[in-house]
Amino acid sequence: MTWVLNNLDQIRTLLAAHLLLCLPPIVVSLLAALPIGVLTARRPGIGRFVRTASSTLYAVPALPLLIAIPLLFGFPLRSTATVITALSIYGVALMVGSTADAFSSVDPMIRQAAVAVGYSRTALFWAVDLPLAGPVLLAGLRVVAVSTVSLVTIGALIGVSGLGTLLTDGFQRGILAEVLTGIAATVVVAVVIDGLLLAIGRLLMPWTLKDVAR
Amino acid sequence: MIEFESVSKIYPSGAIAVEEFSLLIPSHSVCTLVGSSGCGKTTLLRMVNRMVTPSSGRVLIDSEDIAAADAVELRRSIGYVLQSGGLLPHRTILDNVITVPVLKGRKGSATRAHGLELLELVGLDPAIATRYPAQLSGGQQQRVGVARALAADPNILLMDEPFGAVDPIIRRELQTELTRLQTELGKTIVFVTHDIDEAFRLGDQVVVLRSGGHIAQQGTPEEITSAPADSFVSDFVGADLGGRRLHAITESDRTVIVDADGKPLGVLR
Amino acid sequence: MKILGQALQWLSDPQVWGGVEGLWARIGEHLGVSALTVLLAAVIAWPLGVWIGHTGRGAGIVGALTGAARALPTLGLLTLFGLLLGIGLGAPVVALVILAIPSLLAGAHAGVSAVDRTVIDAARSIGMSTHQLVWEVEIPLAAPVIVGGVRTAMLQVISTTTLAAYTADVGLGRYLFSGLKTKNYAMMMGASLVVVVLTILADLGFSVVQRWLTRRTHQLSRCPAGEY
Repeated sequence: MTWVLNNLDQIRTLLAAHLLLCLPPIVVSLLAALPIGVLTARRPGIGRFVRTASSTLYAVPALPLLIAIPLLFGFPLRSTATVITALSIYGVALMVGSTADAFSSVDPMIRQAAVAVGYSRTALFWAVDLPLAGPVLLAGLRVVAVSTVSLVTIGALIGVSGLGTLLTDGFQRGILAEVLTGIAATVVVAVVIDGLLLAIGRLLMPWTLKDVAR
Repeated sequence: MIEFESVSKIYPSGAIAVEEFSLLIPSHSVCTLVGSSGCGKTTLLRMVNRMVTPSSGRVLIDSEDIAAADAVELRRSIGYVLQSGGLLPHRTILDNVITVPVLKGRKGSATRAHGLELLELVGLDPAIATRYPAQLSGGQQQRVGVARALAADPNILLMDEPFGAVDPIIRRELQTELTRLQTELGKTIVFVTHDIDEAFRLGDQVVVLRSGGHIAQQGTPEEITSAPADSFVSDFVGADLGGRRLHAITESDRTVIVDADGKPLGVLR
Repeated sequence: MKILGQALQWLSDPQVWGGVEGLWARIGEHLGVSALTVLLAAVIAWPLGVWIGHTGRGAGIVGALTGAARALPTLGLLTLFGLLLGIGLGAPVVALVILAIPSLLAGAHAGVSAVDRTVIDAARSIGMSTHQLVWEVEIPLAAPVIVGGVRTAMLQVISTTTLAAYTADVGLGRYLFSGLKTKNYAMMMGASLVVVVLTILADLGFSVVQRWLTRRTHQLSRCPAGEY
């Protein structure tokens, strides 16, 4: 505890850096996976390919990816761009499957009913498909968010600061409290972001609340 | 007025849903299409709002070929009620009712007020307006479905087994309610059902279909019960009423259905 | 893209592959450590998962554990045990075992609890003991899902073992960390390629086993299904 109190400033800086690294990939995952996921759900042929490709991509270990990206794309090795790109790739790979599941889960009866009362194609997507896919999309996004927050720590291995720096620094200097702080802080950030997403979901999708269901 | 002009629907697989079907449904009347599953009745209904496009033949509304109309506009101008309501689970009851006016761009408080009136019209407490469909009973959802279909004040109502998923007592209630509404509103209603009882109770004109959308018999309930065209129709009519031979007796101003023992079963409207 | 050429050049050097510290040895070590940790984790996770799936008690724990495991930074576990247990093989193995448990537990639990109730009732009604029910009905029917859990765990562990080199002299991660220090990009890229190919091959291998098991279980359950 004393270690935490003595190093509050450093923790705060690293926390901010951590957030800056993990938020963009979460947003990118949602936005990029949306069109791919919709296509995957609508076209079974393309879908099977996309699903295999994304699960293979997700299986690629993080550290080699963090090293391969700058070498292949010519980014400087120790750059935030590397970490953000790598985590976005993971996020999209993970999110595509959930997005496809989300859109496949929309009851075709309800879609038919909406078409029958006169929803146009665009209106059908925005006012029916998207909100009804919402709960499964949210579940997928929560998984992406939590694993992204935890994966950002690996950036410390290639020298990109974040809460992971507490882990590498603590290990090298043999400060157990620092490592424990790093673990705890990462978990807290993950839990808070997860909670925020859940709250946003409740706000945007009031019909999914427990007490609404009969 | 709705006219089917020798329409057929043949799917790419070669399955024939409807073959050379012709029918005229006069304005302000209720026409029930009745038959077992797979007879093409729902396909016929869905041709009216272009959810299904005929492989050949034409469907006309007030003498105009609907193929020329914009499909989305056409659907918004026709009320549609389907089994289990087809309500949007993520919209409140009121938002569900005023779906079509809102789609047409009328969002104001007048529309909302009209929506509440419609809830009352179909026999619901306007207090449920802020709830979600999952919080309502099956019968209530069905009423909301009817209110939604009426919201844009369409001339035509298409009803696809709307009361198929509710229990018999509620179904009876909803049928009575629909009859009352129809006396008040005088819409042109096409009503699809597999329940011959329901078809007779609601239809001014009843069309009994066999598979492939072939008309086995069409006429008023009285005509069909008193003189079934063939054994298919008498089986269909008889089977659903418990296998008893039935006939209609006209007494002064009303028609009474009696069974083989002369026991009265009910009064036709 | 020049780096790819350099990496392939590095990989084509037979000296890189041979010897006690060579690529082959490192690959063997990497897979060996991964297999060992998954095995250890399975010894802990499977009985628990089968028990939870069989009794239906404590199902909430499985969900909570998998959720928590996702939030727990792997590097955190590695460094924590590195500090506690020193720089030997013990620290990464303990950390990796902890990481592998949730997937294995979830697989065993999901597989067993998804077994058709009517099949279980039938097995009981023909006089199977609980022991027989678990071993001869529930586990065989749950096999594809259990292997699915092994697949997830194995991939996760192979992946994370690359990080283990940070605290112990083990596995393919060595090349990455020493490359980072010496700026030997060709070696880093080459080793990265090896790890990627390894995980993809492992993934493919498991998916084949899983599909084979699924087909077999379906055939098994198809015959009796008609009789109930």
